[in-house]
Amino acid sequence: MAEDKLCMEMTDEEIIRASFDMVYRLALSQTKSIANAEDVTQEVFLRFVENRRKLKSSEHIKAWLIRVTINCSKSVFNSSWFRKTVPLDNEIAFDTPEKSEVYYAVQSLPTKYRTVIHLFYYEDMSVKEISDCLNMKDSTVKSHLFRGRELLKKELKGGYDFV
Amino acid sequence: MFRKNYKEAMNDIKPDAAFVESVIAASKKRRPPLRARYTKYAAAIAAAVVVVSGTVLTMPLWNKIQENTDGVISETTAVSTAAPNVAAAATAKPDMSAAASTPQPATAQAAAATEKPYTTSASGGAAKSSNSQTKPSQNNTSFAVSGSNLERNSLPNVSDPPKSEQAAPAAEASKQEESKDDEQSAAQSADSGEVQIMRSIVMGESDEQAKENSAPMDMAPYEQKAELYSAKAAAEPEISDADIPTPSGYTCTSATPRGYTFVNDAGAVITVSINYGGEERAPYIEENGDNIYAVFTSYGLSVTINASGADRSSVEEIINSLR
Repeated sequence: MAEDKLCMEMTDEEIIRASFDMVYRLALSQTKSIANAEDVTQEVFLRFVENRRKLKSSEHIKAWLIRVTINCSKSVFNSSWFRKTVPLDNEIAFDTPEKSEVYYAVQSLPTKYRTVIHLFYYEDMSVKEISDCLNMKDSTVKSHLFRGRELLKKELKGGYDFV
Repeated sequence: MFRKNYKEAMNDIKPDAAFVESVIAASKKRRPPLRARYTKYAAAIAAAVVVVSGTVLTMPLWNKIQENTDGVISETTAVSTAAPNVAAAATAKPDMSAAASTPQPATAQAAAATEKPYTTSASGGAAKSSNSQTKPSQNNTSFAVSGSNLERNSLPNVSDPPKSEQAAPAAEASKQEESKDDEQSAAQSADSGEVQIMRSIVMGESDEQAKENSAPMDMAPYEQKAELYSAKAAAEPEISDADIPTPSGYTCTSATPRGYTFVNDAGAVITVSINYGGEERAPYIEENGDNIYAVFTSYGLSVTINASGADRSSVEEIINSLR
């Protein structure tokens, strides 16, 4: 409750700054393109300003931002601009090979598995939270997690435990 | 292990600071949607409420005004277009009870009525005042019609001098009764005369047109219809004018506007039917044994004669009398 009050007392700018990285990284994991991720991020926060009054708590804001980010990423894929253009290869460099290996292994997954893996391992969301956020059944989320892990195991050639 | 590496990898990805600031600036520029700012519509809503409530509150007043002016020429029209004397009458119109109680301006009709010796009695005056109270339209006519208008309307009951002026006092009582009826009929005819004048003033009609179009305001619809039909019939030849003399040796057993029946002692019967006809047509006579059939059209009337056991000469006598 205290967090909720604190969150509701925060200004739009403060909320945007606090949740900017989360939205941007989720958009990047969805679109696999920095330019598209930036477009999606901007669109998400513009929608957030318009719908700020409807959001009641910090959890609500987080779930709403994740849901809108995924929807905006899908709309990017469905846009005629995306279908008629080819994005530039802008590979992200990491300081260690393990980070790079893991990151690109996740990026190679299909979108439906990538989303669940990202939310489960990076955002530390439970299966229930993911199912509520993505409007899916728990079993569907679990199966996507399982299949995603199986694909990652094949990609990473072992050596990682998926706890 | 996977979780740790993935988190570290994602944490290394950081958006450009300039991009963050641009997004924040863009979000500041973006205002909440207009539909959420209800204050903008407050003035319009308040104005609408005022208009609707004002309309609802003044509705009974408007209804009352419409009831008062229903079927009566409005005051403003009369004042603006009518002659001064008519305008004065129109302004005195709306309050009928006040008009009845207050002294009314003397007019030619009132003067004519008072000139008559048999209308100066107290009973006659009382009867007149009671008439004016019971019938507002009659009340109006007492001061609305000028002398010239009376002459134009040719009201014989008012303008004609009483023939019984030199009659015996015994007959005066009965004359007073008649004079009351005369006044009433004069007032009614003067009423129609006023309507004609008002129509001619307001509608711009000529006197003839006003007289044609005028109808008593207190006349029921069926009475107006009957008057219309009678006016139509007046334009056509009158059947009852075709008076057929009885042929010699016959007696008239039935005489209606549309047919006559003649019978003689020998039992011969001649039936004459009269209808409105068209063009002139010469008589056609056909004999079939004892029966004679004749038809012709004369003066716009179609005449059909059926005779049974009658002589041809009797039929020809009827034909000749009608042509």
